[in-house]
Amino acid sequence: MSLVLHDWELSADAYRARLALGMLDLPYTKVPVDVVPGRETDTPAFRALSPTGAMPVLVEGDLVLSEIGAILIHLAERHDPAGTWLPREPARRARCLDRLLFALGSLRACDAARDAALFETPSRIADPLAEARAALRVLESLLARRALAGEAFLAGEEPTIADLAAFPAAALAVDWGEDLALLPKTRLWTRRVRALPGFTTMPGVPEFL
Amino acid sequence: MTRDLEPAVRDAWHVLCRSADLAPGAATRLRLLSRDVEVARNAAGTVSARLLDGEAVATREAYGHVFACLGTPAAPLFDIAEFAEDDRRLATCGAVRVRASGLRLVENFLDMAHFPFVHTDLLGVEERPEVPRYDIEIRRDVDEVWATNCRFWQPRAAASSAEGQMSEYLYRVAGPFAVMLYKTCPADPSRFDVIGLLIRPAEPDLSYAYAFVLVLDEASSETAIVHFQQTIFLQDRIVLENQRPRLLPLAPNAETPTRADMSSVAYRRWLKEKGVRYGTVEGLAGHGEAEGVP
Amino acid sequence: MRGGWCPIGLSQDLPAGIAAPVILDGRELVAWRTGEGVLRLFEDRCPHRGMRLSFGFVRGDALVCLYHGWRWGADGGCRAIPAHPELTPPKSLVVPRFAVREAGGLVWAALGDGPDDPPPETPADVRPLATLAIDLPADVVSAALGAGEERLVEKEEAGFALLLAIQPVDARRSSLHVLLRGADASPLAALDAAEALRMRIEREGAPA
Repeated sequence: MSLVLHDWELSADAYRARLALGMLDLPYTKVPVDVVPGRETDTPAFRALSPTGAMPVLVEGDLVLSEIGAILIHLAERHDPAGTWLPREPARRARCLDRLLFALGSLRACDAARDAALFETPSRIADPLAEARAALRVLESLLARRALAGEAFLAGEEPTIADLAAFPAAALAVDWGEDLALLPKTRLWTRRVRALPGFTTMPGVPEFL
Repeated sequence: MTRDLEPAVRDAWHVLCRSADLAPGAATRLRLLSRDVEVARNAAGTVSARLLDGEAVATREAYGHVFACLGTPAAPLFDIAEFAEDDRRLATCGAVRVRASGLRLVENFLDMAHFPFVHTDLLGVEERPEVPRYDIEIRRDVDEVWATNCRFWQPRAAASSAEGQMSEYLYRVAGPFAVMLYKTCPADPSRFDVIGLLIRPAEPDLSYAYAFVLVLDEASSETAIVHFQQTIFLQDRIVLENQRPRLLPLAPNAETPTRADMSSVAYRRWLKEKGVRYGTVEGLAGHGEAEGVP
Repeated sequence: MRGGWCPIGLSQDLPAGIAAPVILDGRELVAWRTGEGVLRLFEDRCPHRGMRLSFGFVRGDALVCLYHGWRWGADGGCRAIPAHPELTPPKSLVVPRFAVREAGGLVWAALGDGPDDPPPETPADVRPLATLAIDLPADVVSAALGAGEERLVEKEEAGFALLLAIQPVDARRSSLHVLLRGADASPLAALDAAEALRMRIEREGAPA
């Protein structure tokens, strides 16, 4: 079944999907969506795919997914026979989902801070910068704990979709003026994600990571 | 109200917004040169603008954008002759906010030496970083800076490129905050694509960049063309937000140019001759609005 | 304190071949290690066009600027300018360097000329835990820890012997580099204790 990604190069969520597709080595077709300046996500045609206007959209046969969490979970469940990106053993799976929901919850304030810094996109979050910084501090703390436990990634020794969901928040932080100078474990972890086979970069991800 | 602005900036044309972002009957407030400006389009389609505390300012609509001059226009809006060629396609990329002097944005746009490192595998490759000698002149008749005979090897020069090419460039600084380039068109090597960067300086160290492309490209979708330019600009933006200081220094010993930076040297000299201070280190004392400038 | 040794990180967080931004007393610096592990501290600014060098990358024994690929050697001198491959960069082309030393798992820096005395000693039985960012200036953190003028203090917290190195970042922020004494103590539980300490300092020290 062929995979189609309705995509915008500059979207952090689209990048999450591209990272997963790359790591799983899945061929896919990109359909570019004119989000800025064209506001194509507000058109009836796009809303038919994505009722909330969320981007990206992954289409696989009859399946149309517009929530990034669902896209990551689906790709891991459907296309990762080894079951490492979303572990099957219940406790490891729960830990992965715990970090995934953190990455797509509190840590999403980083996306809001970035959208505001680049395009002055309004956010439902009252103070995206403060919340983004607070969430990055939590990420640093989680990674410091993993390091003390001898684990390299957010949910254990192996990378999972939680790492892919969290990576764009940290790696694109320079777009809103956060250079991660005070978050050393986050910097080292982004380097490890970068070094994974199938990694793809995007504009805004700095070379130093 | 605008008396404290130097004439070279006050009497020049600056981009305000894209035409498409101002519907008939709509009005919007924007920051330009540390002033609040309201720009509106009436039901008949005519654009007007005024400083928020009263005075009307001159406006022009051209090249897919709305321009304003806060003083008395020293010259007509710069001419981009290629807009008269009807086989070209215009794509406007919208505004990107950058925490840096608009003058730094122009200078980065004039620079070829960063292609292999900032636009790796698109506009340059690390294996071919050399910038051959090019020519630079300040054209006194039109008061513009031109760099000509620029050449650089590019793996993917445009959205329509399938393979690498030795690109030929001409750079043109049409105003302190307006710059464009003409480069070899992958589809028709006898003609040039036009890429422009129009900058709205909101504060000395805060800019809004409006990129446009005027290309001979029947194959790429407009969205693909816009995405390509956005990708390039976002790569530049990392650099622009992390140059220190954020304002452009005009003092010759503040930074270290080489022969590849001849265009930047000429641009700085031209700015200095014209008395441009807005967005420069030297002008910092004159414009108290820049906060947190290191 | 200017001129004295200040902690800027844990040694383990600066592996070979890496450059990282360091903000010390409001100054933007870049700490980097050559591929062979030699540690250097430079001004975080390429003399060419002002780009922060911490955005660059390490190639062998050189720090490479992201913007134009200018290469800077461990002595601060310019090694190469890619736009002009035949050009030998003049000897006068240098990035300002600062004194940097490692001791007991910590990296220390001095903004002035390197002090004559070595950085403070750490006990032999310490393990690095983590770096904790604090949204308060270093003098407030020092006062809360009863550190006085010292940059390195030992603090008993929830039964753990924590060694805390205080880095002044800027007017609003500081960093605590935390090490743990005692081979038997659980590092994870000790990190809980250190984070609880940070929370208390931030609550008590927050301006009214």
